[in-house]
Amino acid sequence: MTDDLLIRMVKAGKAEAYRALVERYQDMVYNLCYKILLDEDEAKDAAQETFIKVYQVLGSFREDSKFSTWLYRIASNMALGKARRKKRAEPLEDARYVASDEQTGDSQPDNMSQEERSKFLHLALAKLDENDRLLLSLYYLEEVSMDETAEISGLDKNTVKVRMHRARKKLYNVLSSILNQEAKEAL
Amino acid sequence: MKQLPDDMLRQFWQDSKKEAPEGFSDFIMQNLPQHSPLSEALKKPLLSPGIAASLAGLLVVLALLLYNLKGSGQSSSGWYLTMQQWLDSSLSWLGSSPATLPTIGAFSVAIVLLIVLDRLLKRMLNRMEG
Repeated sequence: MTDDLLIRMVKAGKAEAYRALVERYQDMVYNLCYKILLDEDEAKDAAQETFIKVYQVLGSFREDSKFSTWLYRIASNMALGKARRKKRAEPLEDARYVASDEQTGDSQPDNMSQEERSKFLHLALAKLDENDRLLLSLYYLEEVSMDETAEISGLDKNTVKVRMHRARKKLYNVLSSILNQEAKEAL
Repeated sequence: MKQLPDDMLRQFWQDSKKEAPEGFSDFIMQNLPQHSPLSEALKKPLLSPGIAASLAGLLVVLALLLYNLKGSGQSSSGWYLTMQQWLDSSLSWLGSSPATLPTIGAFSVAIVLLIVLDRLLKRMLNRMEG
Protein backbone atom coordinates (compact mmCIF):
# COMPACT_ATOMS: atom_id res chain seq x y z
CA MET A 1 0.00 0.00 0.00
CA THR A 2 1.39 3.42 -0.93
CA ASP A 3 2.12 6.19 1.56
CA ASP A 4 -0.52 8.40 -0.06
CA LEU A 5 -3.22 5.79 0.34
CA LEU A 6 -2.31 5.19 3.98
CA ILE A 7 -2.33 8.93 4.67
CA ARG A 8 -5.77 9.26 3.09
CA MET A 9 -7.01 6.39 5.29
CA VAL A 10 -5.62 8.05 8.43
CA LYS A 11 -7.21 11.36 7.47
CA ALA A 12 -10.51 9.53 6.94
CA GLY A 13 -10.38 8.36 10.57
CA LYS A 14 -8.72 4.93 10.25
CA ALA A 15 -6.01 5.50 12.85
CA GLU A 16 -4.78 1.90 12.54
CA ALA A 17 -3.44 2.71 9.04
CA TYR A 18 -0.90 4.94 10.78
CA ARG A 19 0.76 1.84 12.24
CA ALA A 20 1.81 0.79 8.72
CA LEU A 21 3.44 4.19 8.17
CA VAL A 22 5.21 4.01 11.53
CA GLU A 23 6.50 0.50 10.82
CA ARG A 24 7.67 1.54 7.36
CA TYR A 25 9.73 4.49 8.58
CA GLN A 26 10.56 3.81 12.23
CA ASP A 27 14.07 2.46 11.60
CA MET A 28 15.01 5.33 9.30
CA VAL A 29 13.66 7.97 11.67
CA TYR A 30 15.25 6.32 14.71
CA ASN A 31 18.62 6.08 12.93
CA LEU A 32 18.44 9.70 11.81
CA CYS A 33 17.67 10.83 15.37
CA TYR A 34 20.36 8.56 16.80
CA LYS A 35 23.05 9.87 14.44
CA ILE A 36 22.20 13.43 15.42
CA LEU A 37 21.81 12.85 19.16
CA LEU A 38 24.25 9.94 19.65
CA ASP A 39 22.16 8.64 22.53
CA GLU A 40 19.73 5.73 22.30
CA ASP A 41 17.21 7.01 24.85
CA GLU A 42 17.14 10.52 23.43
CA ALA A 43 16.88 9.16 19.90
CA LYS A 44 13.93 7.00 20.98
CA ASP A 45 12.22 10.04 22.55
CA ALA A 46 12.86 12.19 19.49
CA ALA A 47 11.57 9.48 17.13
CA GLN A 48 8.43 8.96 19.25
CA GLU A 49 7.75 12.68 19.46
CA THR A 50 8.26 12.92 15.69
CA PHE A 51 5.63 10.29 14.91
CA ILE A 52 3.11 11.78 17.32
CA LYS A 53 3.70 15.29 15.93
CA VAL A 54 3.38 13.97 12.37
CA TYR A 55 0.02 12.40 13.24
CA GLN A 56 -1.21 15.66 14.76
CA VAL A 57 -0.23 17.77 11.76
CA LEU A 58 -1.03 15.20 9.05
CA GLY A 59 -3.92 17.45 8.00
CA SER A 60 -1.40 20.03 6.76
CA PHE A 61 0.52 17.50 4.64
CA ARG A 62 0.20 18.37 0.96
CA GLU A 63 -0.32 15.21 -1.03
CA ASP A 64 1.72 16.47 -3.96
CA SER A 65 4.89 16.29 -1.85
CA LYS A 66 6.78 13.22 -0.68
CA PHE A 67 5.77 11.94 2.75
CA SER A 68 9.26 10.65 3.65
CA THR A 69 10.84 14.07 2.93
CA TRP A 70 8.26 15.77 5.13
CA LEU A 71 8.72 13.16 7.86
CA TYR A 72 12.53 13.45 7.82
CA ARG A 73 12.25 17.20 8.00
CA ILE A 74 10.11 17.00 11.14
CA ALA A 75 12.41 14.32 12.61
CA SER A 76 15.57 16.31 11.92
CA ASN A 77 14.09 19.49 13.41
CA MET A 78 13.05 17.52 16.49
CA ALA A 79 16.48 15.92 16.91
CA LEU A 80 18.42 19.11 16.15
CA GLY A 81 16.32 20.97 18.72
CA LYS A 82 17.11 18.36 21.35
CA ALA A 83 20.82 18.31 20.38
CA ARG A 84 21.08 22.08 20.71
CA ARG A 85 19.32 22.11 24.07
CA LYS A 86 21.62 19.31 25.24
CA LYS A 87 24.72 21.16 24.02
CA ARG A 88 23.67 24.26 25.93
CA ALA A 89 23.02 22.23 29.07
CA GLU A 90 26.18 20.09 28.94
CA PRO A 91 29.03 20.26 26.45
CA LEU A 92 29.79 16.96 24.64
CA GLU A 93 32.05 14.65 26.58
CA ASP A 94 35.49 14.06 25.16
CA ALA A 95 35.19 11.19 22.70
CA ARG A 96 38.75 10.08 23.34
CA TYR A 97 37.95 9.41 26.98
CA VAL A 98 35.06 7.14 25.98
CA ALA A 99 37.31 5.42 23.45
CA SER A 100 39.79 4.43 26.09
CA ASP A 101 37.16 2.54 28.08
CA GLU A 102 37.17 -0.52 25.89
CA GLN A 103 39.90 -2.61 24.37
CA THR A 104 39.70 -3.01 20.63
CA GLY A 105 41.17 -5.75 18.50
CA ASP A 106 42.60 -4.79 15.16
CA SER A 107 42.29 -1.10 14.25
CA GLN A 108 42.51 -1.71 10.50
CA PRO A 109 38.99 -1.00 9.14
CA ASP A 110 38.92 -4.18 7.06
CA ASN A 111 39.63 -6.39 10.04
CA MET A 112 37.24 -4.75 12.47
CA SER A 113 34.04 -6.26 13.72
CA GLN A 114 30.72 -4.56 13.03
CA GLU A 115 30.55 -3.44 16.66
CA GLU A 116 33.97 -1.84 16.50
CA ARG A 117 33.13 0.03 13.33
CA SER A 118 29.93 1.24 14.91
CA LYS A 119 31.77 2.38 18.03
CA PHE A 120 34.47 4.27 16.12
CA LEU A 121 31.90 5.96 13.92
CA HIS A 122 30.04 7.05 17.06
CA LEU A 123 33.26 8.51 18.48
CA ALA A 124 34.01 10.33 15.23
CA LEU A 125 30.49 11.70 14.93
CA ALA A 126 30.69 13.04 18.48
CA LYS A 127 33.49 15.32 17.25
CA LEU A 128 31.29 16.84 14.56
CA ASP A 129 28.65 19.52 14.71
CA GLU A 130 24.99 18.32 14.81
CA ASN A 131 24.29 19.97 11.43
CA ASP A 132 27.14 17.99 9.86
CA ARG A 133 25.76 14.85 11.45
CA LEU A 134 22.35 15.56 9.92
CA LEU A 135 23.79 16.07 6.43
CA LEU A 136 25.89 12.91 6.70
CA SER A 137 22.88 10.89 7.88
CA LEU A 138 20.85 12.09 4.92
CA TYR A 139 23.75 11.37 2.57
CA TYR A 140 23.98 7.77 3.74
CA LEU A 141 20.20 7.30 3.76
CA GLU A 142 20.35 6.12 0.19
CA GLU A 143 16.87 6.98 -0.99
CA VAL A 144 17.22 10.69 -0.16
CA SER A 145 18.25 12.82 -3.16
CA MET A 146 20.23 16.05 -3.02
CA ASP A 147 17.04 18.06 -3.68
CA GLU A 148 15.28 16.32 -0.81
CA THR A 149 18.30 16.85 1.45
CA ALA A 150 18.11 20.55 0.65
CA GLU A 151 14.38 20.56 1.48
CA ILE A 152 14.87 18.63 4.73
CA SER A 153 17.78 20.71 5.95
CA GLY A 154 16.27 24.02 4.82
CA LEU A 155 19.41 24.91 2.86
CA ASP A 156 19.83 25.53 -0.85
CA LYS A 157 21.18 22.74 -3.02
CA ASN A 158 24.62 24.27 -3.61
CA THR A 159 25.16 24.96 0.08
CA VAL A 160 24.14 21.37 0.82
CA LYS A 161 26.67 20.05 -1.69
CA VAL A 162 29.51 22.14 -0.25
CA ARG A 163 28.64 21.39 3.38
CA MET A 164 28.12 17.71 2.72
CA HIS A 165 31.52 17.45 1.04
CA ARG A 166 33.15 19.23 3.97
CA ALA A 167 31.31 17.07 6.50
CA ARG A 168 32.40 13.85 4.77
CA LYS A 169 36.00 15.08 4.63
CA LYS A 170 35.86 16.08 8.30
CA LEU A 171 34.39 12.72 9.28
CA TYR A 172 37.05 10.88 7.32
CA ASN A 173 39.83 12.90 8.97
CA VAL A 174 38.44 12.47 12.48
CA LEU A 175 37.82 8.76 11.95
CA SER A 176 41.33 8.28 10.56
CA SER A 177 42.89 10.06 13.51
CA ILE A 178 40.86 7.95 15.98
CA LEU A 179 41.89 4.76 14.18
CA ASN A 180 45.55 5.85 14.13
CA GLN A 181 45.40 6.62 17.83
CA GLU A 182 43.91 3.19 18.49
CA ALA A 183 46.61 1.54 16.35
CA LYS A 184 49.33 3.33 18.33
CA GLU A 185 47.78 2.32 21.66
CA ALA A 186 47.45 -1.28 20.50
CA LEU A 187 51.19 -1.48 19.76
CA MET B 1 37.37 12.96 -1.99
CA LYS B 2 38.79 9.67 -3.23
CA GLN B 3 36.52 6.69 -3.81
CA LEU B 4 38.10 4.50 -1.14
CA PRO B 5 37.43 6.74 1.89
CA ASP B 6 33.81 7.12 0.85
CA ASP B 7 33.43 3.35 0.57
CA MET B 8 35.03 3.00 3.95
CA LEU B 9 32.72 5.58 5.52
CA ARG B 10 29.73 3.92 3.90
CA GLN B 11 30.81 0.60 5.40
CA PHE B 12 31.14 2.18 8.85
CA TRP B 13 27.72 3.74 8.40
CA GLN B 14 26.10 0.49 7.32
CA ASP B 15 27.55 -1.31 10.32
CA SER B 16 26.25 1.27 12.73
CA LYS B 17 22.62 1.01 11.55
CA LYS B 18 20.20 0.43 14.38
CA GLU B 19 16.68 -0.86 14.51
CA ALA B 20 13.93 1.03 16.29
CA PRO B 21 13.40 -0.34 19.82
CA GLU B 22 11.07 -3.31 20.36
CA GLY B 23 7.40 -2.31 20.57
CA PHE B 24 8.07 1.13 19.08
CA SER B 25 4.98 1.17 16.84
CA ASP B 26 2.77 -0.15 19.68
CA PHE B 27 3.92 2.70 21.89
CA ILE B 28 3.15 5.25 19.16
CA MET B 29 -0.31 3.78 18.51
CA GLN B 30 -1.15 3.84 22.24
CA ASN B 31 -0.08 7.46 22.57
CA LEU B 32 -1.77 8.95 19.54
CA PRO B 33 -4.39 11.63 20.18
CA GLN B 34 -7.88 10.12 20.33
CA HIS B 35 -9.23 12.16 17.44
CA SER B 36 -8.13 11.73 13.83
CA PRO B 37 -5.87 14.43 12.36
CA LEU B 38 -7.82 17.61 11.71
CA SER B 39 -7.55 19.23 8.33
CA GLU B 40 -5.80 22.59 8.24
CA ALA B 41 -8.88 24.22 6.72
CA LEU B 42 -10.82 23.33 9.84
CA LYS B 43 -8.19 24.91 12.06
CA LYS B 44 -8.15 28.20 10.16
CA PRO B 45 -10.48 31.01 11.32
CA LEU B 46 -13.47 31.75 9.07
CA LEU B 47 -12.25 35.29 8.52
CA SER B 48 -8.62 36.29 8.54
CA PRO B 49 -7.86 39.44 10.59
CA GLY B 50 -7.19 41.31 7.33
CA ILE B 51 -10.57 40.47 5.80
CA ALA B 52 -12.40 41.19 9.08
CA ALA B 53 -10.67 44.58 9.35
CA SER B 54 -11.45 45.40 5.71
CA LEU B 55 -15.14 44.55 6.20
CA ALA B 56 -15.33 46.61 9.36
CA GLY B 57 -13.60 49.52 7.56
CA LEU B 58 -16.04 49.28 4.67
CA LEU B 59 -19.01 49.36 7.06
CA VAL B 60 -17.64 52.43 8.83
CA VAL B 61 -17.08 54.23 5.51
CA LEU B 62 -20.61 53.38 4.35
CA ALA B 63 -22.11 54.55 7.63
CA LEU B 64 -20.19 57.84 7.47
CA LEU B 65 -21.24 58.35 3.88
CA LEU B 66 -24.90 57.80 4.71
CA TYR B 67 -24.64 60.09 7.71
CA ASN B 68 -23.18 62.88 5.55
CA LEU B 69 -25.80 62.38 2.84
CA LYS B 70 -28.55 62.68 5.37
CA GLY B 71 -27.08 65.82 6.92
CA SER B 72 -26.27 67.91 3.80
CA GLY B 73 -28.06 68.78 0.59
CA GLN B 74 -25.68 71.02 -1.37
CA SER B 75 -24.38 68.76 -4.09
CA SER B 76 -26.44 67.95 -7.17
CA SER B 77 -24.17 65.47 -8.92
CA GLY B 78 -25.64 62.25 -10.35
CA TRP B 79 -24.12 59.80 -7.89
CA TYR B 80 -25.17 62.03 -4.97
CA LEU B 81 -28.77 62.13 -6.10
CA THR B 82 -28.84 58.37 -6.65
CA MET B 83 -27.47 57.77 -3.18
CA GLN B 84 -29.94 60.27 -1.70
CA GLN B 85 -32.83 58.48 -3.39
CA TRP B 86 -31.55 55.13 -2.23
CA LEU B 87 -31.21 56.44 1.32
CA ASP B 88 -34.68 57.98 1.30
CA SER B 89 -36.32 54.78 0.02
CA SER B 90 -34.36 52.71 2.59
CA LEU B 91 -35.44 55.02 5.42
CA SER B 92 -39.09 54.93 4.35
CA TRP B 93 -38.94 51.14 4.09
CA LEU B 94 -37.43 50.95 7.58
CA GLY B 95 -40.08 53.34 8.84
CA SER B 96 -42.92 51.24 7.43
CA SER B 97 -41.69 48.02 9.10
CA PRO B 98 -40.45 48.85 12.62
CA ALA B 99 -39.18 45.33 13.36
CA THR B 100 -36.59 45.42 10.54
CA LEU B 101 -34.01 47.68 12.18
CA PRO B 102 -33.75 45.71 15.46
CA THR B 103 -33.63 42.48 13.44
CA ILE B 104 -30.73 43.76 11.31
CA GLY B 105 -29.00 45.00 14.48
CA ALA B 106 -29.41 41.66 16.24
CA PHE B 107 -28.24 39.82 13.12
CA SER B 108 -25.09 41.97 12.89
CA VAL B 109 -24.28 41.47 16.58
CA ALA B 110 -24.80 37.70 16.16
CA ILE B 111 -22.40 37.63 13.19
CA VAL B 112 -19.73 39.54 15.14
CA LEU B 113 -20.19 37.18 18.12
CA LEU B 114 -19.94 34.13 15.85
CA ILE B 115 -16.71 35.43 14.30
CA VAL B 116 -15.20 36.07 17.74
CA LEU B 117 -16.33 32.64 18.99
CA ASP B 118 -14.93 30.97 15.88
CA ARG B 119 -11.53 32.61 16.40
CA LEU B 120 -11.47 31.59 20.07
CA LEU B 121 -12.37 27.98 19.26
CA LYS B 122 -9.78 27.71 16.48
CA ARG B 123 -7.13 29.17 18.75
CA MET B 124 -8.00 26.60 21.43
CA LEU B 125 -7.89 23.83 18.83
CA ASN B 126 -4.44 24.90 17.62
CA ARG B 127 -3.17 25.09 21.19
CA MET B 128 -4.48 21.57 21.89
CA GLU B 129 -2.81 20.25 18.73
CA GLY B 130 0.48 21.73 19.96
